Amino acid sequence: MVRGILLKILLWFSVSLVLVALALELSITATSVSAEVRVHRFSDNALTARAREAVAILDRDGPPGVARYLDTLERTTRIHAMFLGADGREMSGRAVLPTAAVVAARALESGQTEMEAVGQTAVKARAVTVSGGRRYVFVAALPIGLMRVLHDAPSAQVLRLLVVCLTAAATCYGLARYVARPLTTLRAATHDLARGNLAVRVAPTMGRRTDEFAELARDFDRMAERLGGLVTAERRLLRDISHELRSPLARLYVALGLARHQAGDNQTALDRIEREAERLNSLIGQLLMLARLESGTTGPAREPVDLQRLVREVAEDADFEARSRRRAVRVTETCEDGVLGDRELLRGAVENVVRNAVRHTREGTAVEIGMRGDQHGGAGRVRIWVRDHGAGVPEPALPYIFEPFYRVDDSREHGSGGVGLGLTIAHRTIRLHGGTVLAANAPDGGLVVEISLPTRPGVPSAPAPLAPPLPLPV
Amino acid sequence: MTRVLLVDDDVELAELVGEYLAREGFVLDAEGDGPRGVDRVLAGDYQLAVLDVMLPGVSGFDLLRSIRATSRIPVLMLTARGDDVDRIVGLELGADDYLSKPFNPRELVARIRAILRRAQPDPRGSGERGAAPLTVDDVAMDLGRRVVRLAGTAIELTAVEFALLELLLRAAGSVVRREDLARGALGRSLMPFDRSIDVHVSRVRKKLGPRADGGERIATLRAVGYLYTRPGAPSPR
Repeated sequence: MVRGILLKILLWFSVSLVLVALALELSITATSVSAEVRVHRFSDNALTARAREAVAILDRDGPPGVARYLDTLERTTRIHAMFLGADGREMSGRAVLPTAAVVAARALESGQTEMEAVGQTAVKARAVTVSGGRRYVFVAALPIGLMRVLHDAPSAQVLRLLVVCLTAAATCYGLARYVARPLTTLRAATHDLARGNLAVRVAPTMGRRTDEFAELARDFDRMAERLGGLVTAERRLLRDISHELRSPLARLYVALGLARHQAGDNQTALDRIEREAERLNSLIGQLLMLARLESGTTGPAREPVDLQRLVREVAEDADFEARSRRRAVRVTETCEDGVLGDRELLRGAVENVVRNAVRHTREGTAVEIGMRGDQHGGAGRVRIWVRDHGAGVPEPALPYIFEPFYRVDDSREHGSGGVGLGLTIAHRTIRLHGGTVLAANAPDGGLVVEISLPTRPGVPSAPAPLAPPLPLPV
Repeated sequence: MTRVLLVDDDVELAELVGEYLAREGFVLDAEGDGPRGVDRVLAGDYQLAVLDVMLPGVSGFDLLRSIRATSRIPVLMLTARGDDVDRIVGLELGADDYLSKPFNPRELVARIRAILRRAQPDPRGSGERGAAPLTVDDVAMDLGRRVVRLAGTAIELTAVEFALLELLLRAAGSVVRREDLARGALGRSLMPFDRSIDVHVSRVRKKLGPRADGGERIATLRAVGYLYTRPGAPSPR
């Protein structure tokens, strides 16, 4: 399709080139020494006059005078001249070009003007005879062809170059701007969209353009609109699922309560039903949480979070729960580093990892939580590791334990009550905060899950507490 | 008979809850329409309202706001599980407590009883007619008539806020642990990550304003609890 942007770029380039050529032509015409002047300077009469003048100077001032004369001539007219005697010796002491020597000899022989053009130089020799029968040859070497520009003064040449550059820059700037502006707009809009601003639109900024850029902008807008629609629909679906799945659960809970009244002492089956309902409920909650994290259209809040306090609180709660199952949770070390993020999300992430560890640690052992800052210059990281004393995870399975519903093997999960989403939620949350989560087996058994989060320079961990935090029950 | 109004569009749930509460000695009426629910609450036939946050077409918070504009009737909010923002907003708007849905009906009854107990006039106060009000500098609490006066001017406090202030004033000058505040004022233990107490305290703080000498009346001891400061006593920081 030869239209739109292709045609426009073609036109822009053509116009640009024509303008540059025109500018060059004009500037050369305006600043160069005209051909007439050059011819005149190089004419027989001119050379004869020069020769006689040189003879007069030679007689009056000797060879140094001639040398000065020739230098001046070269400076003012760009003619490289030599002044030779009848014996072919240069009178001012200048070097004689080989061509010049040949042409000079011919001129002396013929007594006329001789000329030779070799390469980029034309050499013209004029023999003169003065009083006393002395004969001299005035040889002028003149740049021709490409070297002709040397006729012009350096300032003129600089001016030309400047005119050409400016013309090229001006037209090319127009072209570049024409192409780059819509691209910049689109790029900014894409960036915005990627960061979750689904309301961004670009077509209105395209003005009266009708080319591919304008079409691209309209396509972008359609895409953004569709994306927005999908996200809205997904959110509505999530909300509806949450509501619709939980309504029957809510009724189930109350019905269960009524059944308990009627069942009297035999509550075992009802206990089981309640436990399963509770699992269903927490599974729905986790699914919703995961979906919310996955959609990721709104980044996490970026408030300063006191990680040390968060870790201690999670450990305290988890320890309380673990004790009923004859297990414990201990904090082995902490540091002051804080991060920017969503406190509740981060707490959920750490809690999920700790709960997972409590589920798998052997009876009578303690889950250990440690925390250490790693400052390298401005941007540091803070590591939180959670270590259990359980069976660990087979090496090949390690990369997959953060996948939704991944089960290492049935024996590990049997009766642990996990629904297989806790680590996934932790993983997504930490990733959302620009961190990483890794799992590894400890050398002496048990699983170590390590969370690494970027700290921000100048982020205070939190204002110092007014009183020391409650001592942890050990 | 204690009459409770449940504002929830789930008719079947309302029936089940009604049946359950009837065994516990309550009369439950259900209302599926939000604005009508508010009218019925404000008509004054009920001792307590249970309000679902998610109602079709109207937010439970808006209903709570219009109830609180004129009434101090105890309100229990039903929120979506895991939605901390909902809980905090509800408490800030003056709900007495919240329960996440789906809920265990035993828990519902326990919370309703706890809220109602707080809302009852204190038997100690009413028993000793004309007993001296609980007074700390310019704050005077009449426990019998459940009136709080700040420098002689009556202050509107919800039942939870009243109970909290009473606990803090009785221990004025020393720290009351968050856990104790929860047991005393909410009638339950704090759940993990439960910020109800902090929200209620901040509402009390806002209603009382700063002390006459400009100091903070209720000081926070992070992760520990709260302290009603005595004038002139050194600040805990």
